[in-house]
Amino acid sequence: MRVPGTRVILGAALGLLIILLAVTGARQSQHVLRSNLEPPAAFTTELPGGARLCQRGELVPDGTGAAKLRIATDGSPGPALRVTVRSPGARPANGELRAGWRQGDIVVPIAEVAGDRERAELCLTNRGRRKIGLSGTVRDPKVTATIDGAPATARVWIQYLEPGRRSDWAQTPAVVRRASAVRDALPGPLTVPAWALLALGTAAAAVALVMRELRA
Amino acid sequence: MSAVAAPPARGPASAETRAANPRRRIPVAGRWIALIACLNAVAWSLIVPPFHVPDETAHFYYAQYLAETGELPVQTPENRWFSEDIGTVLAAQRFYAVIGRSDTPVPALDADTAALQEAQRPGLDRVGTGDAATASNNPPLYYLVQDVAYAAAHGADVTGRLAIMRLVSALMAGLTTLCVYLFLREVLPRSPLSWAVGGLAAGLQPTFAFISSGVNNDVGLYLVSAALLLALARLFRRGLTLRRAAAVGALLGLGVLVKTQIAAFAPAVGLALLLCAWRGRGDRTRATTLRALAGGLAAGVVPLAVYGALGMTIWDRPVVDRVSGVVAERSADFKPWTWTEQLSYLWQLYLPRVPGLTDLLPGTPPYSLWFKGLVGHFGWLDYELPSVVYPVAGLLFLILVGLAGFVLWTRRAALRAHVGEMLVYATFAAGLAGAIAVAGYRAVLDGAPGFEQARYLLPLLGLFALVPALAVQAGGRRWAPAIAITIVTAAIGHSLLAQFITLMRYYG
Repeated sequence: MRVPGTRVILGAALGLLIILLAVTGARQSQHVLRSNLEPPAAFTTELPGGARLCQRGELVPDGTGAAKLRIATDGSPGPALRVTVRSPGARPANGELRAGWRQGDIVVPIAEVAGDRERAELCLTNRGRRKIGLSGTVRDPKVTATIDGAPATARVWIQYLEPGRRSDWAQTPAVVRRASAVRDALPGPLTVPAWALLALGTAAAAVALVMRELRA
Repeated sequence: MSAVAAPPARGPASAETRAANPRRRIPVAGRWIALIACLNAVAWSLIVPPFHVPDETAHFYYAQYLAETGELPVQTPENRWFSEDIGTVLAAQRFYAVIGRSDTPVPALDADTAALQEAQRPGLDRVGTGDAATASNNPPLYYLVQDVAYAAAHGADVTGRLAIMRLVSALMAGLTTLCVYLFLREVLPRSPLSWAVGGLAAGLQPTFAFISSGVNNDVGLYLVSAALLLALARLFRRGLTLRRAAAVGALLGLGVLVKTQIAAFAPAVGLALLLCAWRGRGDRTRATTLRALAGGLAAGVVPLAVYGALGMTIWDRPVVDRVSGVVAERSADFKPWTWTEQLSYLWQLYLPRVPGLTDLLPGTPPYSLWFKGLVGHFGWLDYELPSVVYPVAGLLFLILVGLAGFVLWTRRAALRAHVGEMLVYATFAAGLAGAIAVAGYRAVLDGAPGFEQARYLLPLLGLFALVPALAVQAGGRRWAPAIAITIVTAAIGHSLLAQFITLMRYYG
């Protein structure tokens, strides 16, 4: 079977494919560095106006520039919030969010954290008058958050985000490192390079095969 | 599907040629497609985190328990699942806080890595209580195959063993795709291009590759189902013989030992054997036909009989445990099963809901469950492709179906010779659809909706592959290359996009 233009069609199709993949990877978003893995199962914690919630045992990643929490109000615009991250031997990282936000997943920018911080404590201060609800998971009182020093019933859900929006492509070095760490098996640090080789190799083989069949 | 009028230039070789040179049984393209599908599944297995293929925890533990004890798992009321070594890895990776949440990457800081390595220290219990959760009632054949890899990697830690066992599934994906390719070669004997396009579309299909990247007995089910479709096609295309009937029977019998769901294909197999016996009645003696049918029956029964004997003597379990669970008497605490509601459920599962039917399923299952699920719904059903992909895929799929339908219409005269064969394939698909509907309705009555998943339709991969394979032929000599290139490029793009999204979901 021989038809003129086969290579042109193939070139156009592959060109379109490359453009689509490039555009997909160029999506900008504020990437999650780590969640504290306390699923936001329900709004478990009330934080009255003027009160401060603190949660110990947090692991805050290097490069964190914002904290995301799931917060409910009574429907009215949310109050001003202040977040502080403290950890042994490091300067606190502070951040504030002005009043007027709408309930949902709220991102509070904080000063960028340098180095992973283990055994950190995150505190959230409600600087308004009305109470807010925080989503999290009910836990043993020994590990729950505290509100003005008194134990709450739950740990609240927190995600630690990069300071700003970046493309997916910009995440490549982090993806390479994390994938090999999570896999914890052969080929170790070469996990993502091996994947790329296989993925692109199978794609190239598929194209070569269909071209071979067209020539036959 | 075109009739076989004369031996095609590059079609199935004659029996004599094949016997003389067995290597020529599989065309080079078929071998390459198998390799591509296998390596594609290996690629997926590298980027899907440990246990993030659905139910992989349960299937991995089943294989491990079987290898360590020689016993089959038993589900217990206490739900004390798995073993200590698996449990510590799941805890270190905070597995249950990650699945179901697409915005939660797998923890991978240095402290998390240290915790994982600490969790993989030697000496932890590998046996547990023998409860493999939802996998407990599965038959053992897939796990016995996996246990070869388990034995080879016995000295490795949990994630090391899992990585090796995933390769077995990837190998099965390659074999499944090879069976799909050979099936297409049987039913479309004049078009090698169609076999290649259909085979590649199947092998690169992201949901198939994703499931095949993990330890899950669905992968074994896909292989046996594809092989069974191939065996049925050979039965129709080459005629009933003892060997072919035995192949069909053996695949059905062994398939039941991989996953009981394959019993849903028994009506299609029975119909195929009877139709082929009837069709060839003038060519064979009655004794030859009866011998072939008896051979098919025996080949199907022997594996089950062996398993039954082992079940009665060593393992204490019935032959078809899952089926017995579905048809068992139900407690009075649950909503009663009714025929009308079962039929309503069946309708709603596969067709648009019509006025007057009680709403038993959320959304519009033909699109939201099956189509979107097959296009891409990954992990423990916790992430999807970008939303724009689904309508675009829907449009492309409709075009392909239209082209395939056009080809069938233009060849309707030749198709008349294959009505029986098509009826068998329809029965094959209907059997699976019915089995899913029965189990799904049962789950709804038990207050555990959400049983239905698109991956349950992948045993029909060979039939799905007919759509792109036929679509290629719609263009004739002039447009076939363009259609073929478009389909294969789209399949590649779909596959790469799904893997890229997978990387970003877990590590981005």
